[in-house]
Amino acid sequence: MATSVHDVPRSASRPRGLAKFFVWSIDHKVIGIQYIAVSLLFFLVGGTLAELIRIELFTPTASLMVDGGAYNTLFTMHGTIMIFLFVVPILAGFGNYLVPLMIGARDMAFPWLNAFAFWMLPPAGLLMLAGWLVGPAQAGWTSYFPLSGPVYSPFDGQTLWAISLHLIGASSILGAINFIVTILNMRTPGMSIWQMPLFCWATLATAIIVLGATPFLAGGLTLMLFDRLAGTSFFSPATGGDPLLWQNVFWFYSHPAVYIMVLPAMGILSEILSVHARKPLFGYKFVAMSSMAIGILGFLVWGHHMFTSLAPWARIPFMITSMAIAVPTGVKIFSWLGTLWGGKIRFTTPMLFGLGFLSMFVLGGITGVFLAAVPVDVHVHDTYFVVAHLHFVLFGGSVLAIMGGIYHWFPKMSGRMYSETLGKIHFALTYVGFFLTFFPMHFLGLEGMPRRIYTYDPKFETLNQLSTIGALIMAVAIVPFLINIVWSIIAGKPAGNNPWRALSLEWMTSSPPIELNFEGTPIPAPDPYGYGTPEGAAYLASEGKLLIAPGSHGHGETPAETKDVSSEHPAAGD
Amino acid sequence: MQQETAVPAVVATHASEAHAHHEVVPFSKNNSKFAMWLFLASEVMFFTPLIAANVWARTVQPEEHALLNIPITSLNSFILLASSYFVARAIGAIRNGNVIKMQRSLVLNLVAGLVFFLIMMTEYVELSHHGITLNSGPFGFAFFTLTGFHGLHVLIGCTWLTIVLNKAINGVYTKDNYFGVEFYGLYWHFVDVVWIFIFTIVYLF
Repeated sequence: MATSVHDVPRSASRPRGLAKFFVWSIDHKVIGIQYIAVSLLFFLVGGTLAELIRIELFTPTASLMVDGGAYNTLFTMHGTIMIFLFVVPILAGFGNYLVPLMIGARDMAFPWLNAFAFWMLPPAGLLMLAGWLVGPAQAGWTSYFPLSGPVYSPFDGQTLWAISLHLIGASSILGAINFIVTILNMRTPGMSIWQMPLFCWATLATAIIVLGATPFLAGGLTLMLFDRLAGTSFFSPATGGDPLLWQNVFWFYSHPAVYIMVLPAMGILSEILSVHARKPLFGYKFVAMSSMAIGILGFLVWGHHMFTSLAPWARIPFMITSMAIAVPTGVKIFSWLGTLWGGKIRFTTPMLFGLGFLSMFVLGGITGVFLAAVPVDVHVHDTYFVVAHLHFVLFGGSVLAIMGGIYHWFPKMSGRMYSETLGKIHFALTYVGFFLTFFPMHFLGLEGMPRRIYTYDPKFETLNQLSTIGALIMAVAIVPFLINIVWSIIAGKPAGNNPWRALSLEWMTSSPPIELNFEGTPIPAPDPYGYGTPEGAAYLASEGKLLIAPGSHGHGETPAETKDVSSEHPAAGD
Repeated sequence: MQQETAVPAVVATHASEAHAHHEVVPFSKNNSKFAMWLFLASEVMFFTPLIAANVWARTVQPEEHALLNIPITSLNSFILLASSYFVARAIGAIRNGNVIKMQRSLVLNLVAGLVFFLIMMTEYVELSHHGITLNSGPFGFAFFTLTGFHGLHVLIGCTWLTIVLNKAINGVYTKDNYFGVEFYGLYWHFVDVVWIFIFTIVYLF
């Protein structure tokens, strides 16, 4: 029967407890945590590589590395692992865990496909790491030709790098298809698309970008593999190829990929700020639409990575589109500030990480506008200024939001509260360490220190040492984080269903949620961010009662009428 | 499968069912079709850099283009277009409950797909006689990578079609249940549409 493929039987005889996270599971909540756990492991690997980079750069001479090649491997693997095996999959993990819960669905649209997409990830990671056994990739995470061609990268590690990225890409594409179908087709009755939490909007925009950009990279990687294995020469200039072709293909993917890495993090931030400031989110529709605008604009800016190699006439158009990205991003920033304004801010750990994101991402965003300007970019091209910018948006942005998200949803995922004290220590060390690591790099870059070198002019030594000290502080910060997670899972206080008194649907079920998420059909709050409004208060007060009783099927107890999200409710509530 | 007809926006599982031992999470066939459309959109983006590489190769080696056999490939394109028509005909037939016409149309579709692939192979041989191979230069490697991946998609389609055809012969598809044919049809139409772009950009320009 053709239809049998579409039925997903769920037998009761599956492993329970921790064991279920180590086996094939089609439960989106298990898959979400599997994604998050695997990504965090790779975060530790990528972080260790980063520490080695910083230790090498503590002195201007070679201290740790045997040669430049070893150092090239470090930054290549650090960048690749952090981007493709940490930030991208952990955000997919949040999406998997949260989206069905937030929209009141029982699972993703395609549970089996969801599990399949996850299980492509561990082999991809192992292939990436296996590079060390056969001579690892050294061409940077951008793998520019001819560096990544067979002449300069004769080791098989570069081939494994491309195959691993192929697998991760396929996993992302399947995940994106699943997210789009789930978000558009599986919302609980009564939830219009304008009542979705903004994290779902961000995931939707991200999935659309993945669908448009990731297969493009797959095409490019296929050509790279042909160049390396089948004797073609698309990209190597010595044999008739064109390295610019690779740069265009790579950045046509990799600039949108920047938004794949930051949009869901922005979605997490919207959830955190509104809940912990007890204020309706300021300008819901603008935030939702700005995600879409960033998604579309993101496809039109790739040339700004190639200002020094692109035809001069193409620079100005790319400069204009790149700067235009600051508009939807600015919409988000001001919406978040508007949300905080006059709120009853509770300085919980997730909120601290959220505020950390806001402060650091603004710095990274502003240097992004600098870099979009052709004259500035030509000056600081390939210097530490670019490294500083990238880390302010990617670490100061995405990673801080991810950490905040972990703390925010930890009570839901584990059913237990984390330790606020350890959480705050983690935040303080991370924040200070982060700033100390990456802020000096702006000055290094402006003074002309090139990136991707392991020895440097002694005049840069002091700033580099500050930077290394910052990196070591960040390494220390991981310790309270890991202790907190492990200790809280074992001995944390029971969290209850809704410790943050939040309005979105993932909090309207048990912690951790039951097998198919909800008893009965959940009814969403009229406004997922209606904190301090009478409707929001009524919804919170009645908790379970607004859910349809098991077995019944109607809309008997539809909550108060949907109210427009606006700044009508300036007062913060509880 | 009592939920099969549910509209996509509804997650219509009763709580009582949710506690059954071997319960089922249903998702409508519309979700699958939607997902197929999204997958095909991603396939378009996969082919785009391969087509772009051909455009680039034309600027590097413009004279090689003259070696392409446009009359034969025009005929071949017509055969592939016809195969798409046969899929549509098969779906129209089963929608009216005409099982025999559906089976015949699917057989014609399979024949057209295989003939297309064989003619493409003769073209490969012809080009290799002119010294154009995967390793002979930008034109060669761009052309063979693109048409090779398209040919691979044709072969995957033919394999899938064999499964669909087998089910059609065994009477799996009826007036009310022909999702398998439609689902396959979406993919085959895509293979055809991509070829139209390849033919236009690589051969005609």
